[in-house]
Amino acid sequence: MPRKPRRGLRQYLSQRVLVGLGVTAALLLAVLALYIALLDRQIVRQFEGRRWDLPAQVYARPLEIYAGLRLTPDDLQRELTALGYASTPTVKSQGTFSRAPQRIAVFTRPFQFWDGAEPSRKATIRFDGGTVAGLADSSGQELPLLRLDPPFIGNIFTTHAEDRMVLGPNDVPAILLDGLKVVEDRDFDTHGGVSLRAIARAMWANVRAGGIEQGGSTLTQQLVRSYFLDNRRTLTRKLREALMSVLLELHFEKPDILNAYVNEIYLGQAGDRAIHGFGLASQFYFGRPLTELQTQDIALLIAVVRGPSFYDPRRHPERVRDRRNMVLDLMAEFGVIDAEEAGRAKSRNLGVRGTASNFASYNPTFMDLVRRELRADYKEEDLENAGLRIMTTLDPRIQALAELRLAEGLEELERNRRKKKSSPLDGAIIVTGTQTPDVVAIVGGRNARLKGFNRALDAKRPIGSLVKPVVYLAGFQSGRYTAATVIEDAPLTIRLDTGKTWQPQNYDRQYRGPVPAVRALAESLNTPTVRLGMDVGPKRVATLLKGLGLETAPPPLPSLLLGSLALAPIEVAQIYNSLANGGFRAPLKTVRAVLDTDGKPLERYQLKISRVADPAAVQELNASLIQVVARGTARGARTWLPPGLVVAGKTGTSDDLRDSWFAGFTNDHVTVVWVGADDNSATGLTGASGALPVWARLVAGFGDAGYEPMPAEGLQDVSFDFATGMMAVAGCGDPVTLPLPAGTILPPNPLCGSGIDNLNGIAERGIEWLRGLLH
Amino acid sequence: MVAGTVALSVRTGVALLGTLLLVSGCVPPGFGTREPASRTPVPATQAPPPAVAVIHPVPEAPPAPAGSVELPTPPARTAPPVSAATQALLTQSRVHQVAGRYEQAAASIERALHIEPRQPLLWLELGNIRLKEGDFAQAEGMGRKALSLSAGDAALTARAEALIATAKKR
Repeated sequence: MPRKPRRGLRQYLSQRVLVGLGVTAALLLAVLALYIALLDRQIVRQFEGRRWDLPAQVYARPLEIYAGLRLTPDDLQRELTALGYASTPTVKSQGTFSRAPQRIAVFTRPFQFWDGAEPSRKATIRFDGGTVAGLADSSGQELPLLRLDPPFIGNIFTTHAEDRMVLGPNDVPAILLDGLKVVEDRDFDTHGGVSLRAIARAMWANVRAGGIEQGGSTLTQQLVRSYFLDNRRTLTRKLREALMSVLLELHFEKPDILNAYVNEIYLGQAGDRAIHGFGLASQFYFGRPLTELQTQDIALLIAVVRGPSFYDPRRHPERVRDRRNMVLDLMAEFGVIDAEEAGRAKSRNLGVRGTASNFASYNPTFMDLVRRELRADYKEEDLENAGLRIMTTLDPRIQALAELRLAEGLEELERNRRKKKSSPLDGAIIVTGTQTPDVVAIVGGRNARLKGFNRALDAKRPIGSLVKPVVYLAGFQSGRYTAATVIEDAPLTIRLDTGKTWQPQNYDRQYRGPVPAVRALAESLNTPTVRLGMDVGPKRVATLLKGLGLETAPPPLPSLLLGSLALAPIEVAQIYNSLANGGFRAPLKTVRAVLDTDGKPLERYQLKISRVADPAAVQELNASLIQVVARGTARGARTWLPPGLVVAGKTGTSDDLRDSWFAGFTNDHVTVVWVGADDNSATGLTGASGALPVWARLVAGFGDAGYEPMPAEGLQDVSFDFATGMMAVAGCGDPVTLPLPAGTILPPNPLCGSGIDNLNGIAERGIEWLRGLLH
Repeated sequence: MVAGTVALSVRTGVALLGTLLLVSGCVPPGFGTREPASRTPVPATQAPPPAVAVIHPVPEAPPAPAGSVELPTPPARTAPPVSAATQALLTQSRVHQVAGRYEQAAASIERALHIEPRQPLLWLELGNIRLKEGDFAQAEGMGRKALSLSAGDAALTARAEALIATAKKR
């Protein structure tokens, strides 16, 4: 009887223990299930989130080649090399070219443009010195036009520094996928996320020491690891990673996982930009698209996977070469390539181009303007995730030239300065077309790679004499003034609305008496300008300024006539573009079109144009601006410009020499240069001594044609004396020919009579000229 | 005793639960830092490309399509010669216009303007396209631009003035 209760008790106890354990087990299982569900949600969200993470890709202008284009064979070769075309003796595949002295044969890549597809084709371009003589296709037929694929200049990524170029399954060569599996994850096709065989193999290889280090991680595990930045290899992390890999494999198909891996894996560092994915890595290391890489290049990329800083081909070429060759051996061993090909590939050089720093933040100032333009139409997330393609107006050759000339020019200006303890100089440059509103280059500062303050777009500085052309244009438009109209250069007192008086002075505090308008503009004289401006009225000048290129009209004060107005270089560029455009305003733009991820046009930014000034008056003005360079304050430019190149422009200097400007144009480009100190201190530079040398050296390298005046109705070319505005007589005075309104009457020239008066006049002008050199 | 056993089990369970939770660690980094945009996913296969626009060697240019502004009796024209490249793009543009693809027609002309920016025929063509699209302000602007480039050429001047007049009427 006493045993029974004990047995019962034990039974009772064991039952209870079992129940307790059962409950605990159930609880544990529930927690585990919850945990797994949590991981599941995380990894699926990450995978799908990244999958749709397609930053917009930005392209520069495509080079269009046609007979008559001013282009040297060297220029074309440079463009093709920058596009990643390989120079080969015979042109057999896409992305190659061959060069003879006056002839280039090329096999172009196809590209989906906004107006249709440009197919891949073979063509031969013949040159005649510095011009394209003609082009023919592979059958020998003449081609009227050939458009190359546009240079890729970067991704628009606005919030994070991980950069990738996403590839679809069709863009990934099979040899890369097979190679990856062979080197990193031989059981990829069969395992369920984690490979016990791989782990065992790895442990065995580590124990043996000496074989190619087999990580035990599958590609899936590596992919999971790459989603989360934590590199701590603790047991818990490994377990979590393993669980997530299994879950990932349950949700998604092998090809999708492999494609995600190809686009996700970290493969290099460019400054502060992390390079992810084989697409971008191909550009980063080789400057070419993935589909154009050769076997040894693919093997190199696979080799880098194990550790991009340890296996950095630029810093540790020997180490990378050894690993690349081991990869090639493995690929041959497992039949991805044959032994012969492996042998050939192993003998090739690494072929890695350039340095990492070139790749970092391409053209940040240009991208800045692109982003600002797109912000009006696209949300941040569209730019980050929709795989858009953005076609821009950037001309990489001119951009590179502008960056170089600014940096060089500023350095030289600082070297030659008298006051050595002045603040450092900085500057900005904008280059646009003339008849089109394309912005072809922007430089925001002397350190072009720095993504800092964008002076070209945001530094508003007093424009000084840059405003004068608009004042004279207002005068010409009023009908009361022509380029030959004589205006008094003499002391002047203006009564302001405030009751105070204003007495504008010339730069050299001298007065020349009666001068024609063209001379007053060319020599940047203040008192004739104010006289004319007050007669026409500052309000007319302000309205005209707004029409030419400003959002709002500036206050119509008399001081506006001498440029007491702060503008950013891009605003100045819009104004001078409207002048070069003959009195038509076409809003400056960088974006030509936006395409979706398949290349279908989403939005095309049309050319818009409106007349904002009288074209005949603008012709008269532009002819006067030519004199600024031919005879006026910008004479010094001739030192650097090709002889005979006709350019029009204007110097600008602000009070106390804080801002030095030059804005001018050839037939093909409008260029604005600003030089100054960021702390707004005096630099001791005028427009002619600071910005002008930078401008002239830059424009000399464009290869542009000289500015061609456009004949306008109601104007006819008239010759008159530049110094006095009187009729020109052969052999007497300084005749200049400008288009003036038909019927303009000029006073006869009394100086061209007696010899003594002539000598006086000449001596006077000689002294003038010397003084002018000091401007 | 039963209560004690149950309590023991519960405590063990809680302890194990706690350990498990501890071991599982905090929410891993990266969770929730990137919200996937609710967007239509990119299809795995590429969509077929739209109609190919290849520049063929120069054929006969078709006449200007109906609806463009033309002079009643144009005299012998002294238009500035159009280069082969420009002609090819003009032809391409006419093809697009006839098919009603005005955006692409305009795009072809804008390409041509990069080659011959001062060719008044191009500005006239673009102005006519804008007329068809109903953008009368731009049509007038293009007409005026063409006019400013046509000084000395009576026929071109007349065509430009006609375009301006038509645009202003609307």
